Amino acid sequence: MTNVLLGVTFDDLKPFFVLGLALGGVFAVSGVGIVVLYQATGVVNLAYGAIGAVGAFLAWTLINTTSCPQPLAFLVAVAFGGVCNLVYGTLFGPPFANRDPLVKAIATLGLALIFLGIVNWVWSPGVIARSLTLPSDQWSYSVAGVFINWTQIMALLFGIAVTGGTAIFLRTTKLGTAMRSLANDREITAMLGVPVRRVESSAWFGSGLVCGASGIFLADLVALDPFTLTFLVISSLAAAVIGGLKSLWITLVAGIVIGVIQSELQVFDTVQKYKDMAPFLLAIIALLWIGRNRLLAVSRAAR
Amino acid sequence: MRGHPGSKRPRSVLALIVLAVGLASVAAACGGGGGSSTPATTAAPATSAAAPPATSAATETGAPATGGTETSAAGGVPAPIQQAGQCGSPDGQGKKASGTPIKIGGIFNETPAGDFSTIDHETKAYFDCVNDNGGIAGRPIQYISYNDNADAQQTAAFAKKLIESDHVVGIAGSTSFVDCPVNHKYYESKGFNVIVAGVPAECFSTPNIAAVNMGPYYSATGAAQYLVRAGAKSIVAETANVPGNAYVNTGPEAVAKAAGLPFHSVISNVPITNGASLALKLAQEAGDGGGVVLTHVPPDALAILKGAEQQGLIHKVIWACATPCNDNSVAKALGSAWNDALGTNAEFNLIDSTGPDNQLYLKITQQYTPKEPISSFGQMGYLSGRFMTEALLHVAQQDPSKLDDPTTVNQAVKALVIKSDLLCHTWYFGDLPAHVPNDADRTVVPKDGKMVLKEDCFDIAPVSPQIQAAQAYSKAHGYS
Repeated sequence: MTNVLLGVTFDDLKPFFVLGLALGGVFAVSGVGIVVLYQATGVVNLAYGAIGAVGAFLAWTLINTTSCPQPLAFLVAVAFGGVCNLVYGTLFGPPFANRDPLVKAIATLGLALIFLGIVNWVWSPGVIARSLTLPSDQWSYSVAGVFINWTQIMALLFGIAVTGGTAIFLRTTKLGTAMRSLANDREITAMLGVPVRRVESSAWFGSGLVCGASGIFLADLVALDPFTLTFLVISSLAAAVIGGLKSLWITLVAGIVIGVIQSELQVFDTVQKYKDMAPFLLAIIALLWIGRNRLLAVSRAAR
Repeated sequence: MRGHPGSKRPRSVLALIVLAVGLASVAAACGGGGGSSTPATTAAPATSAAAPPATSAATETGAPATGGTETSAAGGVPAPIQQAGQCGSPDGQGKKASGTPIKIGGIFNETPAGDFSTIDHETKAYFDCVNDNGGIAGRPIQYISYNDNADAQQTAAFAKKLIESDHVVGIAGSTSFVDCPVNHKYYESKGFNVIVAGVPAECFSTPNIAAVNMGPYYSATGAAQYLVRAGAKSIVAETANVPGNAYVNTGPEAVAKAAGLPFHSVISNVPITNGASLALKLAQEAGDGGGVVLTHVPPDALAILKGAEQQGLIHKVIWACATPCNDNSVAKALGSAWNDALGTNAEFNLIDSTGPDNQLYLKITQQYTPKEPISSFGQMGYLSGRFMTEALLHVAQQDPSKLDDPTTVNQAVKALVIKSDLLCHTWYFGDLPAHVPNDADRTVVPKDGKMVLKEDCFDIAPVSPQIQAAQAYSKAHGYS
C-alpha cells in the first residue's frame, strides 16, 4: 500500500472520503441557503443552524409523543424553518435594511441564542439522549469499505439539486431576476417598481425551507443536539465565504470539500483533534486568495 | 455600481465574515473543550510501579447491594438516622420545617460539554423532601448553588462566595469540571469536607473531597474490565477533550497493560459532529474482536454509537461505555439493534431497582423535580442530598445549636459511614489523603429500550494508589 502521509495509505483514506461527501452535501445545502438570502437581503443568517435545530426537535417530539406520521413531522420541521425565517425577515428586515451587514448578522446571532435557550429549556438535551432517524437510513450500500445509506446519498443529491434549482430559478424566473437585481442595487431596484419587501420575504421564506430541510438531514447524519446543529453553521458559512457569498456552485463544491477534509482528518491521530478548525482555515485561505489581486495592486501602488 | 449597498459590501462583508466566524469559533470553543480557562490539573492518579498489577479479571464481591439503610450496626457501619424509604428524621415525617434555614452550598456546571444540572436539581429536591418532613431539628435546609460554566475564575469566586458571603455550613452535590482542581486547597484551608459527584482527578485524590460516584476514570476502568472479561483482543479508550479529562483513558490503559492487550487512546473534541467517521476510526484502531470504551455524556456517546450502527460496526468490535450511558434514554434511542451489545459500567444500581433508596429517589424526583430525567446523574444528586442530611441529623442529635457551626458540620461529614442500595459497598468519607468510597460497580446492557443488569457488583481494578488505599481502608473497616 502506498504510504500517503504519516503511515496512512489511500485505502485508509477512502472510507472517510465517502463519509465526508454526505456531510459535505449538507454543508453545501446550508451554504447555498445562506448565499441566496445574503444576495437578496444583505443578511448573513447566523441563526440558520438554530432554526434547523428547533425544527428537528419539533419533528422528534411529534414522532415520539404523538401519533403524527413521520413524513408529516418532517414537513412540519421544514415549514417551521420557512415560517420562522419569514417572520424574522418581515419583522426585523425593514428596520435593519439600511444597517451595516455586520449589524444585521449580529441580530441573527441573537435569534440563534434565543432558540438555543428555548431548546435547552424545553427539551433538556444535555441530559436526555435523543436521535432522529429517517426511513432512508434502512437501506445502505457498501462503497469503498464503508456503508452509505440512502439518507447520505439524498443529502448529497439534495445539495446538488438545491444548487442547480436555485441557479435556474435566479436566472429564469421573474422573482429570481428581482432577487438578483436586489442583490445588485436595492435602491435602484425599488425605484424600478419591484416590490422589494415581497422579494425579500420570498428570499427569507425560501431560505428558511432549505434551513428546515438541512436541520432534518443534519439531525440524522450528525446528532439531534442543539449546540451541535447551531454551530454547524460555521462550516456552511465557511462554504459561503469561499463562494464569495455570490457563487452557488463554488459554495456547493466548497461545502463538499469541507465535509471531506473534516472527515479525512479523522484518520490522522496527530491532527484529528484540530479537524474542527478546517472550515476556518479553508475560509481564511479563500479570503486571502480572493483578495490577492487587491494586495498586489496595493503593494505596487505603495512602491 | 454607485451609491448602493453592494459597492460597500466586499470590505464590510470581509469584516462581517471574520467577526462572525470569530464569534462562532469562540462559541464553539465553549463546547469544543481544550484550552478553555482552566488551571493545569494536578497529575492524574498514576499506577505505582510498586503497586500490585491491576486485576484483569476483577473479583466479584459476591455480595449484592444491601436493601436500604440498616437499622442495626453491622460490619462497622453505624445505624443510620434516616430510615429506609424516608427522607429526614423519623420524628419529623409529614411536618413542614420552619425557622432559620441551615445553608448548604453547591457548585455545578451546565455547559454543552457537560450539563450536570440534573445532579444539582436532584440534590435540592432531596433537601426539599427533608424540609417537608421535619427538616433538621425542625429547621429547613436552604440549598444555594451556582453554575460556574466550567470557568476557573467563576468557580473560585463561587466557592469563596458560598463560604464567606453566603455562610454555608457544608457543601454537597457539586459537579463541575473545574471545582475540584481549583477549589480543593481552599476547601482544605477552610476545613470544609465536600461531598461531590466528581469528574476530574482532584475529586478523587485530595483529602477534603469525597465523591458519591467513582468518576469517569474509574468508571472507564470498570468498562475496560468488562471488555477483558468479554474476550476483547485489544482496548481502545475514547473520551472527550474537556478540562480535567486528560487522565480518563489511563485507567483502561492500566487494565489493558495488566491483561497484556494492545491499547490506544483517542481524545475527541465535543460535541461530536461526525459520529460515523469517529466510530469507523475507533473500530479500525481496535481491529476485529477488539474492544472500545467510550466516556462521554449521553448525547455525544449516542452520536458515536449511531454512527457505529450506520457503519455496521455493532458486532465488529465489543463496545463498552462509562456510567453516563447508563440511561434509559440512551437505551431507547439506540433501539433493539444494540440489545446486549453495549456493556455499560453502572456506578449505581439500576434506575428501576426495587431497593428503598432507589424507590425514594424515584418518588422524590416525581414530586419535586418531575422535569428531570431518571438517570444515574439523578441518583448522584439523591445520594449527595441524603448523605449531607445524615451528617446534619447527627449534628442535630448531639447538639442542635451546632448546626450553624461549619466546623461541627464538616466533622460530621468526615465521620459519615452509610449504606445505600444504590451502591455496591458502604459509603464513607473517612480520614484519608484521598477518597474513593464508591469502588465497586456493575455492568448493564441495553435491552429493548431499557438498561438491564449483565454483571453484578465487582471491585474496580486497583489502577491507582488512591483506589488501592481506599479498598484497603474499606476492607479493614468492614465496609466492603
